Amino acid sequence: MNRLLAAGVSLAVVSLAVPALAQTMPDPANVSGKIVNYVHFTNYIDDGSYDRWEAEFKALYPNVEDIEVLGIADYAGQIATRLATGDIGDVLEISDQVPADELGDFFLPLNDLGIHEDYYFADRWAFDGNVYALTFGVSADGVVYNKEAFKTAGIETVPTKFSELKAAYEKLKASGAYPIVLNLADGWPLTSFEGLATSISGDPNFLNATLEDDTPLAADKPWGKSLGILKDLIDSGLAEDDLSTGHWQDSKGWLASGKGASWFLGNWSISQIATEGATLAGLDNYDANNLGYFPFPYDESGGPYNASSGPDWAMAINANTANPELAKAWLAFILTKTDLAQKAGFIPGYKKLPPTLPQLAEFQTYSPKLIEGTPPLPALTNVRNTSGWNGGNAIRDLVNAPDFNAAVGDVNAKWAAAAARER
Amino acid sequence: MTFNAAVQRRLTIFAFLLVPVTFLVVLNIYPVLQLFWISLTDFNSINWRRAEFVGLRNFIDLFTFDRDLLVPMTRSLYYLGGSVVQLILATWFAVVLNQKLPGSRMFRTILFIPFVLNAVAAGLIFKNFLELNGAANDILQLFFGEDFKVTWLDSSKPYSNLSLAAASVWRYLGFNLVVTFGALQAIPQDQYDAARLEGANQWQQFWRITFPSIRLVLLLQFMLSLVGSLEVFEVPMLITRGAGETSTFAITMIETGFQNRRAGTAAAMAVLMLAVVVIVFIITRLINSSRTAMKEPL
Repeated sequence: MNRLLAAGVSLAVVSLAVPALAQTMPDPANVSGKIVNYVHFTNYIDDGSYDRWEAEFKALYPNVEDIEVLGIADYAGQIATRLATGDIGDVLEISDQVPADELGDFFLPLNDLGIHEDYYFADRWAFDGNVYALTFGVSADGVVYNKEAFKTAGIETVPTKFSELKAAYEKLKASGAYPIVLNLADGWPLTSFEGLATSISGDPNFLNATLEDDTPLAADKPWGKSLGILKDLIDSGLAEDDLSTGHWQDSKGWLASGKGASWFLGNWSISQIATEGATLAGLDNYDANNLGYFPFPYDESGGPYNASSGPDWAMAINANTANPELAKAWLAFILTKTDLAQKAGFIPGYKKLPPTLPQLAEFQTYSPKLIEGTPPLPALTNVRNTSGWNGGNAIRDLVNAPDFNAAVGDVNAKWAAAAARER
Repeated sequence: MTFNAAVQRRLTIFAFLLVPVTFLVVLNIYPVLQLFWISLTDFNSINWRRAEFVGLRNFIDLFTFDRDLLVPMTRSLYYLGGSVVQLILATWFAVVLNQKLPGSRMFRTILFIPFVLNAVAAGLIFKNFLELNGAANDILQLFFGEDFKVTWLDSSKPYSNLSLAAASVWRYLGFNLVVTFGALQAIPQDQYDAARLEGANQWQQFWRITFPSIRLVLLLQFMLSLVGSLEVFEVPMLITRGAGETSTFAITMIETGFQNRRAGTAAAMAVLMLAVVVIVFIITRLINSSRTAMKEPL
C-alpha cells in the first residue's frame, strides 16, 4: 500500500503540472445544456476556483450552457435529508450515507468513463461490479505539528515511541502550548482514533472483523488500545484545557500560531491550518513549511508505524438526472483535470495526478505502512447504527464518561447485542 | 351568474378557510401522519424503497433492546426545575413592574430581549459566557484569583445541566414575564383599593387578589414549560452539542434518526414524546377543571 504515497510523492517532486490524460471522456458533440452540482467546498466557490474550473470546462465543451455549483456549508448534515427527498441536483458528493447494496437506487454507474481503473478507493462505492462514486482524494491520519512550537519547547527530533511522544508533550505543556488539540467537544475530530485502532491492528479489514467480536473495546484489543491512548492523553492533561465546548474553527488558528502544538488528523487538515488558521491567528504570508506531519507512534516499537488512510467525499451522479452526458463529463473533468484535490491537500483519488502537499514527502521519510481500509460491510453499518458505537460523538461520550471502564463494558454489551441481532 | 345569500356565505367561509386549512393539512397533519407511519417501519432515513413495515417492533425495542435511548428523558427534570424557578421569578418581576415604578417599562423591555433574540445567538452568548475560558470564570477570577476555574459545562458531570437550565431560564423568563404582566393588567384596580381600605398588606393583596386572578395563566405557562422541558433541544445542542450527560431526549432522537440512520426508531421516540405530552396536557386539564369546579368564594 506504500505505493500510493511513494508513487505520488516521487511524481510530486518531478512535476506540478497536470499531465495530459487519455481516457474515455464523453464526446463534446453530445455534451450540452445545464446541470446542478451540490458541493461541500464552499471555500472554493468563494475564492472563485469553481468559476475557473467551469470556464476551463466550457472551453473543452463549448455547447455547455451552465454548471450551477451550489455550496452547502452543513453538507454532511443536509445530504441525508436531500437523498431521502431526491433533491440532490445532477452531480453531488457522498461519503458513507448509502449502504453499498442501495447505491444503484440513487446513482448512475460511472464505469463507462474508464477512470475507475486508475483510481484509489474505487471499490469503496461499488456494488456488483458497478462503480457509483469516486473520491476527490485520500487522506492518511498522522500527527500534524507546528515545528516552531516543537523547537521552542526544546524538542529536536520527532518522537518515534509513545513514551517519547508523551515526554515531548510534557515539554510542550511546560512551554505553555496545548500539546495536542483534540477538539473533543466537536466529536467528529475523534474519528482519527478509529483509524488508529485500524493502524494498531495492521488489518485493512479490521472494522469489518469487529462484527465477529463481542468485546471489541477490551483493553488488550486494537480499539481498546487506541481509546486507552486517547484517555491517557486527556488524563495527563496534555490536551487543550477546554474540552467541554467546541472550538474547531479557532483551533486552526492555534495550530498556525503554535498555541496548539499538534493534532492527530488527516493530511487534509494541513492546508486549512496554513490558510484559514493563519488568517485567524493574524499571520500574514504564512510559511506552510512550518507545519510538519508524522505517523502516530502508538507503541514502544520505534516504528515504522501503520497509518490508516481513507477517502474524502466522493462525487456521484443522480440516477434520475436529465442530463447524464453532461453530468459525467463534468464529474470526470473535476476529478481528473483540475487541481481541486491538490489544492485541498489530498493525495488525489485519480492516480495520474500527483499530490503536491510537501508534508506528504516528510511523512514518507518515516516509512509508514499505509493501511487502505476495506469498504464497510452493510452489516457493519447496521451494527454501528444499532449499537450507537458510531463515529466521533460516541468516542467523545465514552472517554468523557464518569466511569470509563463501566462505559467501555456498556458499549461492548450494546455491540454484542446489536451484532447478535444482525447475525 | 348570481348566488343566493346562503351559497355566498358558504363560499366566503370556504374561501377564507382554504388557505389556513391547506397549510394545516400540508404542514401539520400530513407530517404527523407520516411520523406515525415511519414509526411502524424500519426506514433508514434515506431510502424509501427499502423501508419495510415492522409493526410495533420499534416501540417494543424502545422499552427493551433500546431502553438506553430513554435515559436522556430524565434530564428534562433539570429544565422543569429551571422553569419553576423561572415562573416564580417572572411572576415576581411582573408584580414588581406592575407597581408603576419609574423605569418599569425599560426593565420590562430588558427582561424581554433574550426571548426575541435569535436562538442561536442566545446559545452562543451563553457558550462564550460559561466556557472554561469564558466571561463567567473571568469575572470570578477578579474575586478568587487567577487560578480559579470552574468547568461549568463539563459534560461528564450531571451538574452541567444546571448551567444549561440557567441559560434556558435567562432566555425564556421574558416570555413568562410578558404573559403574566398582561394578566396583571386585566385585574381591576378597585379590588386593590378596596383591600387596602380593609387594611390588607402587600402579601395579602398578592395572595388573595393577584394570585387567584392569574392562576389560570400561571397554570397554562406551567403546562407549556412542562412540555418545553421534554422537548429541550437548542440550548444544550448549541452549547455542549449534547455531549454525554447533557444530551436530551430530543437530541438523542435527532442522533438516532439522522446520524445513526434509524428513522423508524427515532419516529417511535417522537410518537412516545407526543404521547407523554398529551398525557401531561390531559392531567393538567383535569386538575384545572376540578379546581374551577370548587371555585372558592372570596
